[in-house]
Amino acid sequence: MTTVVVNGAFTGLVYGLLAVGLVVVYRGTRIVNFAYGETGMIGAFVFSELWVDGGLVLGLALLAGVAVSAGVGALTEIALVRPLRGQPPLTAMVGTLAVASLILTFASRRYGVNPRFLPPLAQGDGVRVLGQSIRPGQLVVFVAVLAVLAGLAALYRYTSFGLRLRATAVDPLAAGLVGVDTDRTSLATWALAGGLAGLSAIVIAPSVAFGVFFMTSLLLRSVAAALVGGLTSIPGAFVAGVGFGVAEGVIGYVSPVTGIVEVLLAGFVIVLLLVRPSGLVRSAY
Amino acid sequence: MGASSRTRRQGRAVAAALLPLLAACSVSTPRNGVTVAANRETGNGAASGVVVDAQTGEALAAGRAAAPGPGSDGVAGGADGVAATSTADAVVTEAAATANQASAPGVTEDRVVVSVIAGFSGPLAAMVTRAYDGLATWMDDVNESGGIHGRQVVLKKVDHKETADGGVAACKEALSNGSFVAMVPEGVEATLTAVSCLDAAGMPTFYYAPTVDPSWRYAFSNTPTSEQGGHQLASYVAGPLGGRGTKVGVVYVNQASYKAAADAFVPEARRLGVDVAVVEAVEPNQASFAAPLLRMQEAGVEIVVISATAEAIGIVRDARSLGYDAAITGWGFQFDFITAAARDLFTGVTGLRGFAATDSAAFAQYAERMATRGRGRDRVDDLEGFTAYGHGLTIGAVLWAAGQNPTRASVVSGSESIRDFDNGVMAPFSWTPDDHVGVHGTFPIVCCNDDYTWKTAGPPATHHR
Repeated sequence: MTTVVVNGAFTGLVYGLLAVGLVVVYRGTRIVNFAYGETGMIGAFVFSELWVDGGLVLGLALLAGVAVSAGVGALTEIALVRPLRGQPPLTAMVGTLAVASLILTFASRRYGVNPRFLPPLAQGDGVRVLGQSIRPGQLVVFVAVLAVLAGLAALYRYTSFGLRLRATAVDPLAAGLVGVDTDRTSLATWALAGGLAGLSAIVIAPSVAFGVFFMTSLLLRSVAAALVGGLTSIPGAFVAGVGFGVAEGVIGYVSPVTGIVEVLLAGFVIVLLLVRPSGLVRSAY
Repeated sequence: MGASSRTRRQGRAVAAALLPLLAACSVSTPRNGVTVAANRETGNGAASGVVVDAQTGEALAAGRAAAPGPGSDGVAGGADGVAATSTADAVVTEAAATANQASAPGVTEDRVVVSVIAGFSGPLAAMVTRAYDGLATWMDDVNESGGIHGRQVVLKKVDHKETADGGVAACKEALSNGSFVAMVPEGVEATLTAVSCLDAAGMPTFYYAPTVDPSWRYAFSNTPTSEQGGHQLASYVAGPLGGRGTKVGVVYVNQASYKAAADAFVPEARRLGVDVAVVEAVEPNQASFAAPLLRMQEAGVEIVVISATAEAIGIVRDARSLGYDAAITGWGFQFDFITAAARDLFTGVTGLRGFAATDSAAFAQYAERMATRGRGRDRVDDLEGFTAYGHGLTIGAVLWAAGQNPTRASVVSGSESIRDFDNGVMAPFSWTPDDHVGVHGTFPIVCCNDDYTWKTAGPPATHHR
């Protein structure tokens, strides 16, 4: 059972990392970005092209991949979110579905739909914790998660940019009235979330069948985790993601009934939306 | 009609009269002991087995001819492949009857049109384009060597866009674009709707689909179904893998074709004495497969059978990371792009697939033809072209078997008489009037060659011993 819990926790780190990105966008713009997974996927493919195919140094390839995803996020803001500001958020959300479709079409044309080789970002035998073997790839995800959480906490708490993000998140109109450039803030939010998506995709990709659809399916669990966090709480969404990973592993282990995890997860989300539509945890910004 | 036209007709008539003799004299060396016969001398008939020239797809060996086909314009096939008569009048009569005619829609004196229905603009467009290159190479080779029964083969691209609606639209286009027969070499939903529609319209169609509708009357399956894969995997596990009396676990992706393979495998394996201890379903693109693998490990499973495609990478990766050293085999993931993506992770993994590996003689020959046509490419990324080339060889053999003046009915009867057809690309297969899905063999393979393509692990078979 320990093995199941540990494996589930690492899977949950992935869900949590993705959920955090969704929360970042929603906090800033009140929009759930349904193109989040695809935005990250593109960055991972660019990373793969540069690192595996092009032989570029890992760090540079990683930076380039993250930058491309950040650029896609920024472009989404400029081309879709900004023109639709003032419209109901649902309009832009539906628009992000179209963005997801566009990115997938482009990627499947450029990269094909078959899985591609992406070696682990770190080599070695891994480490043993509590008698369990932890793969280097899992350690990379763990380190990335810690870095992202610490970085976001510092950004929101200690920087003026973070303050502007929080002000815009609370009340965009009021923030604009006191001099916050809401256009730039929104752009930065989408670029930041895009970069997070890219980083997430790059660290996750070697652990899954890396293809153009690999983020799409992972994102379903992450949306549920973000909902638990009321779409606004970064720690709430992250912890929920980890919890989902562990629960998925344990339920899947003790119950061989096919699809039981999906049924229980869907049931949980439905009950949550009925009982606590604002989520179990909400951020006070 | 002028004198020159008469002369041309007479010339054709004489040549046609000589064809049976030429055919009877031709020799081929069958692979795997396959008995072959093809008739190319009349407007009918069917081969009881065909071996094709690997370059042109032309049926090589003449043999016993079958009964007249329904679309034969009244010309009966002769016994033993030779229909020549002893008098000059008879020669003229026979020759006149066997001259090329526009015998059916899509067939003219000098060409025969085949619709290629695939997702040319869908999400698999790049793969489909690679596949089409293989077909184009087959077509170029056939045409350069004189065509089939003297007719040039013309391929017409028809796009089904990988959607169910697109399949129907593609069918309608194929029915109205002057095609004689159709092939549907890839697709899932689009294949089913396209083939259903074509079958209802009576157009002979040669398709690939992991699941099929056995009631189709004019459609023929080119490759093994998932069910056949499951059955043959059972004999492979029980035989070459030494699975009799051993605990075996099955993990399959919860989708129709993968489940069909698993459902076929389990009872057949048990019948053969394999102890199928655990059967697990997983979801597509599941993030972790640790739970089902742990259950197998704790149950003492020594051979893990996987029915999946991309998910196989995650399953094998999780098994390795858990330190679970069971032998791994399966169905559905034996594509070179999977091993190219997984690399050393798959070392020692075995399986079955419906087409030869890249280290086979058939692939070498194919690669040489592609290179000659300026379409050469990395063999890791060329499976689609290779299998499509095999489909082309099949179509070629069928058109040869359909006779000199083929009709759609003679294509069907010709196809129904194919036994142990072996073009080297696909494993031998047979079709009968009662079974258009047929019996298809599979190739045992193991990972990997140096370039991470699957390696041949034995001859193809329908029951692996």
